[in-house]
Order: sequence, then C-alpha cells, then structure tokens
Amino acid sequence: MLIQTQQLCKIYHTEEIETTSLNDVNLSISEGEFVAIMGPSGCGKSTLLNILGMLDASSSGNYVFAGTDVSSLHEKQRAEIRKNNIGFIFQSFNLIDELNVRENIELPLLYLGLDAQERKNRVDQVLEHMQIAHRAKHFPQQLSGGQQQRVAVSRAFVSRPKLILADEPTGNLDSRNGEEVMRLLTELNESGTTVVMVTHSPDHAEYAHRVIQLFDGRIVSENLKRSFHA
Amino acid sequence: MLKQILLISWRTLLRNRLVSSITIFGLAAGITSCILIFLFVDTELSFDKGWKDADRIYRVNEVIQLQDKQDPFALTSFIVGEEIKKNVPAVEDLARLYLIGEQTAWYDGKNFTVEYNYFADSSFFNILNFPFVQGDPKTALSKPKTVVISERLAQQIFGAEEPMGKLIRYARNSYTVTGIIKTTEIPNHLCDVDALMSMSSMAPETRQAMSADYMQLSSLTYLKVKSGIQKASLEKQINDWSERVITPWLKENQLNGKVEFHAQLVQDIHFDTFYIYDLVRKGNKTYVIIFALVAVFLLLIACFNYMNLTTAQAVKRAREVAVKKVAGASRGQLARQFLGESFFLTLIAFLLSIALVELLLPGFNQITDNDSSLLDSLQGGHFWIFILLMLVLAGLAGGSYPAFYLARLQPMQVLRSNAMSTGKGLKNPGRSLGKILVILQFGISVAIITATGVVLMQLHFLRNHELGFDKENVVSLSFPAGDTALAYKVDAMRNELKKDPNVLGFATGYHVPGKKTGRILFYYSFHGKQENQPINMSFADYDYASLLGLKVVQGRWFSRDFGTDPQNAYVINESCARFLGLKDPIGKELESAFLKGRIIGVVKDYNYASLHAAIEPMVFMLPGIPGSPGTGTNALIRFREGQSKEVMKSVEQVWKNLFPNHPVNYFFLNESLDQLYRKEEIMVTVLSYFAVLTVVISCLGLFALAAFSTEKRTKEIGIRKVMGASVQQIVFIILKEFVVLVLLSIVIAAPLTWYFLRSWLDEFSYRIEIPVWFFILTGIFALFIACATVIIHAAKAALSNPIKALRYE
Repeated sequence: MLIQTQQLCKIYHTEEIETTSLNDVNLSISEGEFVAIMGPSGCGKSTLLNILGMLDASSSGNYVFAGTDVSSLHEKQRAEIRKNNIGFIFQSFNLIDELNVRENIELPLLYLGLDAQERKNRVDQVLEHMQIAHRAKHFPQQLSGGQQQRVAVSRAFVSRPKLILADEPTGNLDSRNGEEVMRLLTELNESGTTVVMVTHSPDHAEYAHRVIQLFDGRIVSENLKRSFHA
Repeated sequence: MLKQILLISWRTLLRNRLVSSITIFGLAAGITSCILIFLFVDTELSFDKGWKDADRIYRVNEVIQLQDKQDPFALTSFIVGEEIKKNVPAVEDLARLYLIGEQTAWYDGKNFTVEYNYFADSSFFNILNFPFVQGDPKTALSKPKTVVISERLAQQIFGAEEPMGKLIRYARNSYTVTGIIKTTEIPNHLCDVDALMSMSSMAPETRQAMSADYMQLSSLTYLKVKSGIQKASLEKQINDWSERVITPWLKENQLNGKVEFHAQLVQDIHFDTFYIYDLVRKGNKTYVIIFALVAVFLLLIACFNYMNLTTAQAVKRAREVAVKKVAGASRGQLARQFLGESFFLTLIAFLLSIALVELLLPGFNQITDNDSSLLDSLQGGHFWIFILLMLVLAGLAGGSYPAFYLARLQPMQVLRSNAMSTGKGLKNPGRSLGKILVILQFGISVAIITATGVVLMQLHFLRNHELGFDKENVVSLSFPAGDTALAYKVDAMRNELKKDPNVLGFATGYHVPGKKTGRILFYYSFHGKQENQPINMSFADYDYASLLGLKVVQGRWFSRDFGTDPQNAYVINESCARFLGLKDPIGKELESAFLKGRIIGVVKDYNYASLHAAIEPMVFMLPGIPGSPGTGTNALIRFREGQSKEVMKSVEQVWKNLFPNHPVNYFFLNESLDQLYRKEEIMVTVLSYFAVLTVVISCLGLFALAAFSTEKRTKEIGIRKVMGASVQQIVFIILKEFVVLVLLSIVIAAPLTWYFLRSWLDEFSYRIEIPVWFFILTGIFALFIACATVIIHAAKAALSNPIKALRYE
C-alpha cells in the first residue's frame, strides 16, 4: 500500500469561521494504481490532494505514505519525502516564465542535488520521450497550452517519483490535448507510477482504475472502472 | 545553482525593463552619491595622517596670557624653535616655517604672483616628508639662496622647461631651484605652499630683529618627538624650559603676563578652531559630518526604494516561489535565490555608479574645493570595507523581504488561480513595509529640501546683511613690499587716478574688510590701573573712513587739518570703547609700540570680518609712522557703478608707470567678502544637488509603488466603477492612500529638521530666524510632487474599462 489515510480531517480556522474541508476520510491506494477523485466544487478534492502531496498537514487523523507515518512530521521532513517521491501537475501548468523548457523540466533535479551531467541525461531522455526536444530552448510563452502541459508532465516525472498528483490536468485544454495528456498519464501509470488525479470530467475519469466521489469532505462512493493488479 | 540564479536574475531584469531600469538607476544614484561624499570625507579626515611617523609630529603653539585675556596662537616667536631643539630632550628634530607672504617673482622676463612663500629650516623635510619629484629632501634647503617649489608653481613659471638649477628672482634676491615637491599627494594643511626658501637665506638684520622678542609671533614651529614620548611629557618639558627662560624675560621687560606652550599633533590641525592666526588649509568638521549624514540618507533612500520595488514585485514572484517549493525547493534555497538576485542587481548598479563617479568627480572636487581621487582611495583598505558594507546593505535591502517572507509561503494557496484575492497566502505582501519606506523616503527628502532652503537663506542673509560700510564698487590693490619710494608713488597714483571721472575715491590702509587684521599690544588706563592687551589694529589714511562709508559717532576721523594727528591720534570702534571701559573715550590716552597718543574719534561698529563672529575691538592710526611697515599696504579705490572695466584700465596704466616690475594684484571688495562664506556656498550647492536627487529617487520609488498598488486594486476599482463611482472619486481614493503617507512624513521630518537647523545656525553670530513658512512650503511641494507622481496611475485606472478588470477573475 502506497497511501493509507485513517480518519483524516482538515479544518480551516479564520478569526470567526471554522470550515471543515475534509471529514473522516479513509483512503487506501496501492502502488501502481490510477485513482481519480471527483466531486462538486468546494467538496475538498484539492485539500485532499494537498495533504496527500504533503503540501499541507491534516488537522487530525493518520496518513501513512510508503510505510511512513507522515502525519506528525515537520514541514522540512515532509518536503524531503515529497521531493524524493512525488510529482505534481496543475490545471494552469504553472511553468516558470523565466525558464525555458529544458530548465523547467530540470527544476526538480536541481533541488535533488543531482550533478549537471546526470541532470542533462535525464532531461534529454524525457524530452525525447515527450517529443518536445525541438522545443527545449523555447519559453512557456512561446508554447501552446497542450505543449505547456506536456512540459509540466515531463517536469513531474523527470525525478522518477513513486506518485504523481494531478489537479485537473486537462481543465485548461481542449479535447484533443486533453486526450493527449490522459494518454501520457496512463503510460506513466503503466510503467509503474501511481497516479492520483482530481477531475471534473467523467470521460477522463474512465482512464482510472478507480473513481472516488467526494461530497462535503467525505468519501461517498468508490467505483471500480478497470481491473488493477498490484 | 549559481548559474540558475544568475540566469533567472538576468531574464527577470529583461522582462521588466522599466522597473529594472528604475531600480538600478535609483540604486546607482544613491551609491554614486555615497561614494563621492565618502571620497570627500575620507580626504578631509585623512589630513596630515599620511606623513611618515605622523603620530610623532607636533606643531608648537604659543598661548599668551595678558591680564585676564588669553590668546592661543598657532604661531611661536622665531627663536623658540631653535631653543626648544637645544634644550628639550624629548625632541628628535625640529623645523620652522617663517611666513613671508605674497611676493612677485620673475623668470625669463615674465613676472608671477606667488602667494605662499616661506623660509624653511633645512630639517623641514625630515619632519614633514613632502614627496619630491626632483631634488634631495636632505640637502635641498641646506644652502642659502635656494628654494624648493611646488609642482604647481613649477608648471606655472617654467612650463615644460626643466626647473632644477634655474634662478627665480624675487625683490631682493635670486634663488636657485633645488627641489620640486608634490604638495597635495598627502592631504595636508600646508598644501597651498608655493615656495620654501632656505632659512639661511634670511637677511641677518631680519633674523636679528626676529630673535630679540619672545612675544613677536612669526613662525610655524614643527617638531618630531622621540619614540615613546607622550604629548603630556613633551608639553611639560617645553613649559619647564619656558619657565626657566621666558618667565624671567617677561619680568625683565615688565610684561605682566604668562606664556604657555601647547603641543598640537599635526593630525589635529585641519579641524581645529581653537588657535588663532592659523593661516593654513582648514576644514570644518560640522560640514564633514553633515555631508556624511547626507550620504547615509541618500543610501537609505536608495535602499528603501529598492526594497519597495522588490517587495511590490513579490506579488508577481509568488507563483514562481510556489512552483519551486512544490518542485522541492527548500526555504533556504529560495532565500539564497532571492538574495543572489538582489546582490546581482546591486552589483550592476555598483558598476554603473563607478562609471558615474569617474565622470562626476572632477566637477564635485571643483565644487567642494577638494582633491579626492578614486584611484588613491582604492588603495586604502577602509574604502573597500565601506564599499562592501554598502553593497551588503543594498543587497539585503532588496533581497530580504522576498527571501524571508516569500520563501515561507504556503504554495498551494498561491497556485490556485484565485488565490490572490483570498485572505490566505499573500495578504498585503509588505504593504505596511512599503508605506513605512515611503514615509521615510519623503521624510528625508523634506528634511534635505528644507535644510537646503534655510542654508540658502542664511547665505543670502550673510551676503546682503548691512555691514556698516559700503562694499560695492570698490577695488583693492596691494602694493609691493620693500619699495623705498612707496610713499611718493602712492601719492602720485592718488593724484593721477583722481583725474579719472570714474574714480570716486582713493584711500590707503593696512586692513581691507574681510581680510585678517594685525594685532598689537596696547597700553591704557582701566579704572585707574595700567593695563595692556593685544587689540586688532589697522593703519588707515585720511580718506579711509569716507571711502568705506564708516560713520563717526564721537569725535572725528583723522584730518589733514590737524598736523599732530600722525604722531598722536587714534580712532577706535564702539566695541573697543566698550572693551576699554570708556563711555567717553575722546581725549583718553592710548599707547602702542608705534605711538603714544590720544583717542580722537569713535566709529560705529562695522563688520570688518566675517559674520561668523561678533565685531571685535579695533584701533586705527595713520600710516607713515616711523617704525611702521610703511604707507599702508593696500589701496582702496571707489569707482562709479558699472565702470569697473574702464577704471581698471586706468589703474593698470598708472600702475605700469609706477611699478613696472610688478603685476597688478587686485580684487573687488564685494567678491572678496563673498569668499568668506565659501564653505556655506559649497554646502548649498552640494545640498541642492542632493535635494534634487532625493526627490527624484523618492518619486521613482513612489511611481513604481503606485503602479503596483493600482494594479492590485484593479478588481476593487472595477467594482466601484460599476457601482457608480465617478473618475474623480476613483482618483481621489487612490491619491488618498499616498497623500496620507506624505503628510505623515512631513509631520515627522519637520521638527527634527528644525532642531538640527537651529544647532547649525547657532554657529553664526549673525543669523536668520528659521522661517516656519518655508517648512509649510516644502510640505506643500512634497505633496504636490507625490500627487503628480501618483496621478498618472490613478487616472489610468480610473479611466479603464471596468469589464476588463472584472474579467480578470
């Protein structure tokens, strides 16, 4: 089991209001699985993704990642695990405008402290695989939406993470590019990477092994879409 | 990692060219000003510190106490030096300078006015090791009729010709050039020296006359103490000798007084204001401090600006920070990135400022009468420390907010596209910091502008204050010394010039207003007791008072109708009457070395010296008294307004006939008096430039800040417009934010500036009252500038289409 949460809760406090974003979420995800999370706006999908990605801590409950209980870890420790194991893909791509394609993809490797040659090799590999080598020196402003997302996907898996978290990766793309991204994610998953994806699109959810429905911070249903063998 | 930092820094710069240029320029302007002022301050503070064994070199000053009055002179009598050398064991070596003053010199048929001529002992360069361009310091002054000249004078007299071994002719003797020295390489108080004649050249009669009297002060006496001797010990030894030799001499000569010697470290001369008759290059510590403060302020403003701009831009950088954090960057790595970028920008600004300093330094040196050099300072360790501190400060200023605030952000809140408008993550990034910075910047600007204005007003006051005499349309000529036919020539000149209808008056006198007076001992009766005191004096002829427009308030001025005036008449000023304790001075006895006589008149006090000081007592007597220096060294000529050129033509014509071998040395009285306030003039000029600079930098910062602030409020403005707000109402809302800040800055700056200006003005005996209206005017000006700066953005925002703003979300 790669991910296991037990009675996970997240409550946001402001001066006057308390918002319960997640309420008693129990979730198990195996290594190699492709899970889609769906639900209406404000149901807590992104919050759950943040916590799974260790970008945020839960208010209560347990979260065990790859055998380690991360719920009580400090920010620094969480960052360390995240750096080594998790890649992210966002709806609005979130590429750095000042860096070109190669430099954007290289970013996680820089923070992992790999040497220049190793970084170059890995990035070259990924560029080839993604068929964007000819755009290596271009800047995000010079790319289409689909190309930008392909760069973002490349960045997410260049560090060969165990887990990829995708927050509405096709939300800003047309259908053709959206399909393209889903194909890439499926490919990644088939090569062993666990994928957890938040999506509004029922069509894209079909790519997953399992679809989890969230409502008002709770898991209300889980549907198997495809068979999964660990 | 460093490569990535530099890469992003460079590309970020290029992407935001306008803001980057404003940032770099503002910073460069601050750094440039700082460096220029540092060079000035550094030179001023290093006066006389560059001599070999500088901490062992002293000047001996003689303090004379007669009755209750104590006068500390920067001089000693001539023989004191010789005797100290023989009798004070602490002394390793000693040398004197005897001031000859301005002389005419001839070479190759041309004549030159040489201002600073001295006789110097042959050991002089053992003590003050002026660098020699040519010649041997050990032997250059050992023979009679030899002279060591400055590089400046060598250039003036000889041009490209080789000066060594050539003869320069003075009035009485010719001197062989045995050395050429650099007088300004080591900043020093004797940097104006032109020519040093060997002491052995001094005429025996002069030497004898000088050696007879311990009270006749004529020499600058320098000595080098043996290693390990402290100042107190040196002074004790000198004063012990004085007790043994001078005290008995005073008794013998019935002089009721005391003589004490002070040893003044040569390094302390430049800023000293205690000793009088210190006719060397002096600095003013107050101004050095003021300039240093201005430099600090300018740097602070530039750094505040920088901080403001980077903080404002942080809003745009937040997304980048969040992505990097998600990709695995630690807080430390991000902090290093921002600091790295900041230092990179600072470095660019620094390189630009070095170029600016090179460009502006000659002009700056001219304005400040200084001789700073970037190259020289680069060799000094403390210059590099200063640069490093400055760059660290600037780098931290620009990088600290993003490094320490942005690096802490929660990434996910930022990365959701509507995060900017939620309360989390980026709630008013550095808005309060930005506001504080604007208050400080404008506060400093207001302070400097107000200070500039008040200094200007004080300068105007000094220049135009009623002096008690008429300084306009008067030219002063100095007669060459040593001419035995001087009296006749002066009369001839008077008669010739009187024929010119443009010449309205001709008088002669020793003292010219604005120049130093002479001072001699006067004997008088004070409440029945015989007293003696040194009092300022001047020889002045019959026409002196009327030419200058002096008012006689009691008795009369000297008159040709009274044949006895030359032998027994004195005229005093009102201050002197008070000093002598005389309500009715006319007829009272007064005696000096020159004549024994009575007071025949009192003139109304007039400001014959700088308005820095109150009017001192003054005594006048007619020239031509046996034993006196002669007819009077200067002529004062009053001319018809607007006719200065024509009159000077006549004067030069007459002069050439009477003094064919001497150039005409003249100056206009009003210009010369203005020179008394040269330091204030420099202050005003420098402050004005810096006032403009502070306003420009502050406005640049405000401009950029307003741009970001307005952009951030786009949604708010759009909603207000849709709800019905007019353009004026929108503009008002935006302006209000900044007007409040500027008002606060004025309120804070005004009282502090008032306090400092009050202290500065207290240095003057004659001064203006600080005008409140000027503070108000400056405040209004600051508000106006601020509004003008912000209104461009305000108008743009107010006129924009609200739909565009709302579509943003």
